[in-house]
Amino acid sequence: MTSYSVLPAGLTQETFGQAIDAFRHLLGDSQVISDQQRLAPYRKIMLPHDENDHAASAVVLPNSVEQVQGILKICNRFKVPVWPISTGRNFGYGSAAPGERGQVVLDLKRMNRILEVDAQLCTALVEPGVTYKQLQDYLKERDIPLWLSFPAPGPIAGPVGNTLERGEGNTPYGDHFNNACGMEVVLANGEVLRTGTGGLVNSNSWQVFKYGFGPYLDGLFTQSNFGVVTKLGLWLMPAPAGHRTVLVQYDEEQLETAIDTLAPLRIAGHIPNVGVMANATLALTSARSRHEIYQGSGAVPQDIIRAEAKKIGLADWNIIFTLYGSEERIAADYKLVSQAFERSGARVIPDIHDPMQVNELSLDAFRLYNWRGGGGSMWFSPICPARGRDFVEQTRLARSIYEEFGFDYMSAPALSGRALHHVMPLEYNRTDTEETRSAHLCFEKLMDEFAKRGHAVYRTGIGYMDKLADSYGPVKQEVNRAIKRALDPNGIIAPGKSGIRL
Amino acid sequence: MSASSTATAVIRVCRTASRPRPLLLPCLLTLAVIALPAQAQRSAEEVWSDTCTYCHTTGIGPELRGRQLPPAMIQAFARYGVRQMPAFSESEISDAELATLANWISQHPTQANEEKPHAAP
Repeated sequence: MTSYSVLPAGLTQETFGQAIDAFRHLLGDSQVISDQQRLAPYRKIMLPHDENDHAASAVVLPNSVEQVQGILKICNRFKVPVWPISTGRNFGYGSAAPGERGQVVLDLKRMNRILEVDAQLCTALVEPGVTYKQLQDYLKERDIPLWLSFPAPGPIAGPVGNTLERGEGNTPYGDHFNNACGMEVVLANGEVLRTGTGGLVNSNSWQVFKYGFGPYLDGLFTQSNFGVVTKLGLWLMPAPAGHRTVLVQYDEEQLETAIDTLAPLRIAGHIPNVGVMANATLALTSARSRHEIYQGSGAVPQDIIRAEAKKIGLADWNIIFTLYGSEERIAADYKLVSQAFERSGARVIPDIHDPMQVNELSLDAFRLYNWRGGGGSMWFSPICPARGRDFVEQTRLARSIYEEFGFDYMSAPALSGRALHHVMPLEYNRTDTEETRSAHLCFEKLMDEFAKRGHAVYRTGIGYMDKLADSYGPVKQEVNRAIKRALDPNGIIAPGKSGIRL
Repeated sequence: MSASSTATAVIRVCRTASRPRPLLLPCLLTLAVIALPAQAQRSAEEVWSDTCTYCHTTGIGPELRGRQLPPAMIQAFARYGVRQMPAFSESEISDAELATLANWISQHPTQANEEKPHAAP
């Protein structure tokens, strides 16, 4: 009998072996992975956890909705927990690794069909394995003038996974969940739910009208474990006639003014996209690695950061956004926003290039990982009201904690509107045991101190989800648990995801 | 609605005889049956273009071509990831694709005008 070195919690070798046999019967031998060497790619994480704590017992690779239904049936029969992934590119949040040791990864990468693109109403319907590059290639090959909004790992990541994690991109469609319309979800009992108007036979509005009739359910299937999403509708942006990307720079002492100038322009729509803001350290990662400018221990001193940033035209804070449309419209918008920023004391530099704001796939953001080297990276992701005093408070608090543990404070808030997604990478050398431990302690302190002050965190990685869920209070957790019990009474879908268990 | 019927219900026939202006298309562009990149074997150049080129021709990762790197090493780095480099599972790059890719990279001639500085420490 085959012996499995990693088992789902509570399962015996014999029971798990029976489940694996059933998976193989359903999917074919090659689409069930259980030997450790073939499982190794799913163990690679950037978080400061022991990989053994997140080792998958197996991977199953369905290529159809029917196979997903069959997998869940087997899981219910043998009480096997599965951890669904779409492309597994949730870097800095867990990549493709399951939340708990022994869970079976349900890898949906083979379900990679682009099912529909409606060029007239600017929608698409895709499966979980579709990447942004695949979708963009599809549009380009057919001369369909639609743009995508994608996150930093765009070429190798996909819209379903990122949208379900409520990720952001940098175009006017950068709030990805807000621009999703219609889901197909396989429930734990094997039934297939279509949200919105998708339940109607031959519905002709599934990708154009979100709400259907009755409760709006789509949110329940984001950042959750209530079902396995097998199709997602997307709204795509009509390619604009033109675009102009603008850099606005402020010094540290102007930070409060910067946000208070930016926010009304964004809320009023004069800045139409989810632009980004980068502090000097983060911006420097595009051109330098840490060891090139500093060989000491602890955080790089601010005077060095500032001097190095200045050499390549970067300021303490750098806001990048884009104006879209006709030449006349861009000119009018540019006049309005540039005057507002200049009146507040900013430097305004037009006509820069940021690929993610203009539909160009790139992995330029991965230069971030070369800053420290060593493969350690995690995202601390609080929400900040788009008010200067709140943002200054968050930056001061975060910087003090980063530097207490010897890390370089980096800040990259997304200009979401009334709130900023104040995402901060924590870069560390994962090959250094002590530094890895410090990164974990630093991250936990960030979570604690932000929660104490009422700063909500919108997303976190495996190993931190229970802690984050706790900060949202017991009633929310109990409601989540009640939904989980109702929809997944055996708790087979991603137990622990977002802190939700039976 | 069963899953099998839902799968076919969303497939619609597209009338695209000549390439009209896309915004005026009166129909849905649809892929009823398409070659699935993860299932149909891609050439080495296609895998390079789909994935590797974003880091390995831009200075984010080291240039790999023209260095006669051992194919087995290239395969191991891609499959398992090293330091900040992600791992690429077989659902993304199949064993056959990876073997072809590794040989292609290993045997690729040096092209001076494509050399980029190594950014990774």
